[in-house]
Amino acid sequence: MHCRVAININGKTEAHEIEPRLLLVHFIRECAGLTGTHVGCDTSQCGACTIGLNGLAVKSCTKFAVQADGAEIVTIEGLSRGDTLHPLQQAFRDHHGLQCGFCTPGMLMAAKLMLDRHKQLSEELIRHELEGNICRCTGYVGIVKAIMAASIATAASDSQPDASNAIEASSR
Amino acid sequence: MIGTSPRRKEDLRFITGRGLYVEDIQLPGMLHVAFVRSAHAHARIAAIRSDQARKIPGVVTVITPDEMPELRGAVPDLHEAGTLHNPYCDLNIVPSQIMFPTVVKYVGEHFAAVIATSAYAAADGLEAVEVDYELLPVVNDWERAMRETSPRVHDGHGNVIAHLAHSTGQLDEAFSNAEIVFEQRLRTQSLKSMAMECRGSAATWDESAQQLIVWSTSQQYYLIQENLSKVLGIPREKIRVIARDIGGGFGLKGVPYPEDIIVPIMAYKLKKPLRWVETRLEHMLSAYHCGEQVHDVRVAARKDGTLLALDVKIYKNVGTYNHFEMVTPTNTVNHLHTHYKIPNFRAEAWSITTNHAPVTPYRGAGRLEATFTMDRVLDILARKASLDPLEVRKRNLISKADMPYSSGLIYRDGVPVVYDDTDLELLLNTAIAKSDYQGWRERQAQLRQQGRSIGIGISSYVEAGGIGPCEGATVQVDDHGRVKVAVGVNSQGQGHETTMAQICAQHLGASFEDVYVVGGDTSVIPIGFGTAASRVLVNTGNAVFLSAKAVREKVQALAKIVLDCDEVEIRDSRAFCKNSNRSVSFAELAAKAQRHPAMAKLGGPGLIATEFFYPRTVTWSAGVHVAVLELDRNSGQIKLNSYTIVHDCGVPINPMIVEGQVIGGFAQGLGAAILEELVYDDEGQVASGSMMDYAVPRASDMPTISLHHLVFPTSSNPLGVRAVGESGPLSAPAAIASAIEDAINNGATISSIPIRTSDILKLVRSPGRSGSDLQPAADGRASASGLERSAAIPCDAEG
Repeated sequence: MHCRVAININGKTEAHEIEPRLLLVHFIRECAGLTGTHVGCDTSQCGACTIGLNGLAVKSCTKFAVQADGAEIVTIEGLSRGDTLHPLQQAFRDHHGLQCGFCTPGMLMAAKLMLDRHKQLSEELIRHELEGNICRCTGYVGIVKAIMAASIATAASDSQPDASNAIEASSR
Repeated sequence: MIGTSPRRKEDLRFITGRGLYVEDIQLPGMLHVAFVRSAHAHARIAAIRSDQARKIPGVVTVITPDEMPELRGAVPDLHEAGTLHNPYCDLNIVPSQIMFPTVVKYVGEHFAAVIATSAYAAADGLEAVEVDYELLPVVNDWERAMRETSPRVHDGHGNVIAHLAHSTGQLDEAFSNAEIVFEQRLRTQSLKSMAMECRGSAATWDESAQQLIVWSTSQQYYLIQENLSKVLGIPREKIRVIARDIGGGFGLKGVPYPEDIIVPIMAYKLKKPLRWVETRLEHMLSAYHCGEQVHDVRVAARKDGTLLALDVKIYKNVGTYNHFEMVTPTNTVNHLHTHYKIPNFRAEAWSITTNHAPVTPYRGAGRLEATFTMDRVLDILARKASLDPLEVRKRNLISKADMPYSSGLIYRDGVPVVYDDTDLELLLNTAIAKSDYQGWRERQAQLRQQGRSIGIGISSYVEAGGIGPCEGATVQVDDHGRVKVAVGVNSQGQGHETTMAQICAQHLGASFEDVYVVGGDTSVIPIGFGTAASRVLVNTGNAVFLSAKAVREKVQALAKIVLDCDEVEIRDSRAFCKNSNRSVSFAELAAKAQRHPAMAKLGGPGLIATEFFYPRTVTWSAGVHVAVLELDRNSGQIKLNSYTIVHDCGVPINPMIVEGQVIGGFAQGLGAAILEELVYDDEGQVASGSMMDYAVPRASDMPTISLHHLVFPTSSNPLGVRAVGESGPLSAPAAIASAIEDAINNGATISSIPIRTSDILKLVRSPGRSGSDLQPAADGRASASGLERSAAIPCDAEG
């Protein structure tokens, strides 16, 4: 028993005949061939499989692919624009936010959606938000620094084109 | 270039999702492997019925020992790089491990495999395999296992499979002259390295090249090549093992596992591309762990806090096998002195088999256990002598005047241990100043008046690393000016592609951008010993130095001829004629070096050199940690107020990477201190079998760390580098245990890790009791095989 599922991944529609039990992470890895999204555990603890699904950070090992039929997904492969790294990717490199690189795609996607959700990030908030992502190499110090730096860089570039918004916000 | 922190070269592929881990390997027609694993800790496999499994859609075959008799054999020899013979061992049995055994000896041991067109179908097949087990008695507890009457894990010998002993000075005399004598049992738990990537293997037979190609997660991938060559009877060069992008290792991926050999054997026999990727549950059951270790110490001291003697008995639960022989207890013995003088010393250790999964060294590998033991001893001594813990440390510290200091120990490469080119006093004083130790002592006293419980703990570690025998490196400049550095080791996150490039760039005179590093592939250099025991920078780093220097000499000689110049300067991938404006690029020189007759006297054509570095023995790194925390006496919760690390690893090649190693290592030490334990129940079942039960530190668990580098270059290798990979975790459990005990401040002794909230509450509520081991010890503690044991003291009732 197979069913047809079409999911937009990084702007490209991936349509495949799949078993209904296929996990979304395996759809991404095996059907779409995007192996940047990793599997680190069986129990949705580690967050290595984190992706953006319709704008939410989702652990792709907790969803069946059929549940994502018609959805829009962003994976690590869709984070940069061509050769231009996303500010988070650059910040992870600048602040030694990775060692073995295995948790990194999930960390970056969790961080990306964290930036989307919060106007301002504090170190404490970042640490709280990362509760679902485990890194065994770095002790998180470089990761937290990187997200903080990217958050500041993003806020600065957001406020530049329209400085009146920033003034308005601060006078409130 | 050395001493700077350029961005890591390997990062680009990892941050864009283009790393290539074993699970990412896709081969045309590839089949998937799932292993049938034992549900029991000790059982005879009476029958395996695979008829139903073979009917499952997608299942191609089921491999049992009957199906593939080669798999009835043992995994061939296992070696640890650098260990020629253990200088302390007088008994060392290494039971052989059968690839597909008929008697399973731990939960999760594999004994058959399902091969299917998808991992899902393979899992279905696994469910349908029916197994008849004949249960055998389970040997679960190391202490009961030591008794003559205990059931045995292996036929033919008892459960005590290794023993070592070593002593220095006059122990008995020291004890008879002592003013303070005490005994204590100290226990360290079994830990899992918990790399984010589990194990895996992919393999294919390349018919045209007549070559078996294997992708592996192993840290010692040359051993897989060697073992496969032995089992299959084909030459080593017909087997190529690639182990490049690996999602963390920390020692667990060091030993060649049976599965690492079985998957390629099956691919070779079936002539089908295969891939096996371990699930986390499989990993928790069957990947190896570090093994519980118990230390019974007896201490003699003067009432002024001067240590006179330490007598330690170490019991190591090695699980089913003894692959790494006595590496961990030997490391514990050799790291026990840390920064202190122990004039009279005796150590004895036993390795005991049980029906737990086999053990393997985990980052620290006995050093964390040593550090915990020594600092616990010093803290107890401080209380007995009514001294501040810092004062006791100062009174026993090995000073600069004592250097070079010989402790009377012999490292496991057979070379006597000598500390030199270091300043342990400066490390301690820096840690005390940077942590504001005295200020915290004052605040602690004031806050106690207000009913608040601050605790302060100090711990000092040493890390021997860089064991031989050797490593090699090939440096080659091509006619595009690109410089290749080929090495016989791989990275599990350490950043070799960057640090080795820095060493090469500096000593060849190439620009960093031109240098690229290849490793993790047996085809790039024929001999290598792998990444373990913090040995890569000392061995491979210095080999890169030697090779880069050799190529530089060729560049220099050829450039002199080409530029017609007496003196040549090399920088930024060019050779410049001194006092003239003539210069030539590496690219041009490399092109000329192909055919230039001058190369006849320079070792042959091309700008290429391969050199090996043989360290005389290990290097010794050192550091001091100071933890300050506050304890909530009602909830048992602790909060780290400050955490200071002062360390030396010789010349840092890339300070950013060094910092990453130390802090990342600390996080693992924090896990060992308060969170992590691989727990077996009475039936030998794993009770902490997922990431929900086995608690690794999360982002919010980490304190702010104040990290300070001191640099004492070593004279024992050309780069002046010492090991750093295993420094990070070593002191965290000792410093945190000390601080918690100091915060509790009721005479209780913490004698065991991990220190759980429930342990803390018990200690707060029942003063004078010892550590997490609150149960009274079993009666008539083991006196097995004629081993003499002093009456163990489970609880040190003070206060």
